Amino acid sequence: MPKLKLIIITLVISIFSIFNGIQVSRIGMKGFFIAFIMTFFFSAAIFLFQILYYITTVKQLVANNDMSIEDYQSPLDILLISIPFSILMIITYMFLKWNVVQIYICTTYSLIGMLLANALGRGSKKWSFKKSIPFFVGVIASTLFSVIMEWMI
Amino acid sequence: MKITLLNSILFLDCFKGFKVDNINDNQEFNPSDNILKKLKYIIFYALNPIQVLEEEKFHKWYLYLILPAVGWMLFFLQVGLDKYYVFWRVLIISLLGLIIGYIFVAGIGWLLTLILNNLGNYLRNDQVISLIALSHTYMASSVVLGLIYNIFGNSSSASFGIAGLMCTLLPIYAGIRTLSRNRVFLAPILATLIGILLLVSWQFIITIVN
Repeated sequence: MPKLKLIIITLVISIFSIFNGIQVSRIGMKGFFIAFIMTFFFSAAIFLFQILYYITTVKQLVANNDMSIEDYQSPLDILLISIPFSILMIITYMFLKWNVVQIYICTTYSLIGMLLANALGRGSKKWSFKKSIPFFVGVIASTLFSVIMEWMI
Repeated sequence: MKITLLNSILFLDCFKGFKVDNINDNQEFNPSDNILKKLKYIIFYALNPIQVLEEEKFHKWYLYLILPAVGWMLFFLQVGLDKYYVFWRVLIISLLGLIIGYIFVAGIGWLLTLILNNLGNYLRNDQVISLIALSHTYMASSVVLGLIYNIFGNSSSASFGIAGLMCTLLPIYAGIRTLSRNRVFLAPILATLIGILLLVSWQFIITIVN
């Protein structure tokens, strides 16, 4: 099952990259491959960092009795929210003809970061910077990505 | 700029820990207190829509549906301002957004209840419709930001609308996931279905006005 989820997430990143490549090559100044490679590696790096940080922090929290093992959620399950986003992106781009692929990608980074931070804070009543890092990473990544894409377009 | 504005909507999530005290029946009646408590309840549910699935009491879904209706109206007001320059067309598309937003969101909620009940997750219509209606808080915030952005002469209705739609799907996805822990793919499939229905209804409104 984790392998299947990992394949699906890789597929979602590929879909995001392909459509971003198409959009950039159609309305932007750069070619398909630059945008495709940029989006693929940037998204993979962000998701990988968020998953690894989440797992490491959960281990620490459980070891320090700050989190119950029953509150643990698989990061791959959380990342599956990108499935509806990628399908909606295809529909919006192909049928509604709206050039909003980058909005989908950026919002996905932020929302996944928010969900991971939310999962880390489960069962705890006080706010902690350490547990909110996935959210801040998501926000910084989406801002950075939009700046790079603005340069490409 | 647009992305930074969109990210600021997500900070609303910080209010999730907000708690509402129970209303004490023995307290002396004070109209202003009552209004304040009702307002607290509304804010609490609007920021934490999943709560409606955990409570047994009846939820006034017909009132909560005002939130998506207003959200859709503001979104189509932006679309109208971006696409059409005739006052009447802008007015018509905004009113259609208000009416169809109310009806469609209720319909989607009813459909989702039917699907969930058939899959063994027994929920009432009022709970599911309230969940979907209240999930539109983030969409409403997004389109309000979009309108402010529009005042400065930047047309971006699609960006703010799409970000709002994605934020709307988040509580719905989380709610379905909590209900069906052993069926991992149920939440993504149903969230996709709801997202598609919302997009189709948007296209339906644009087609009517065109």
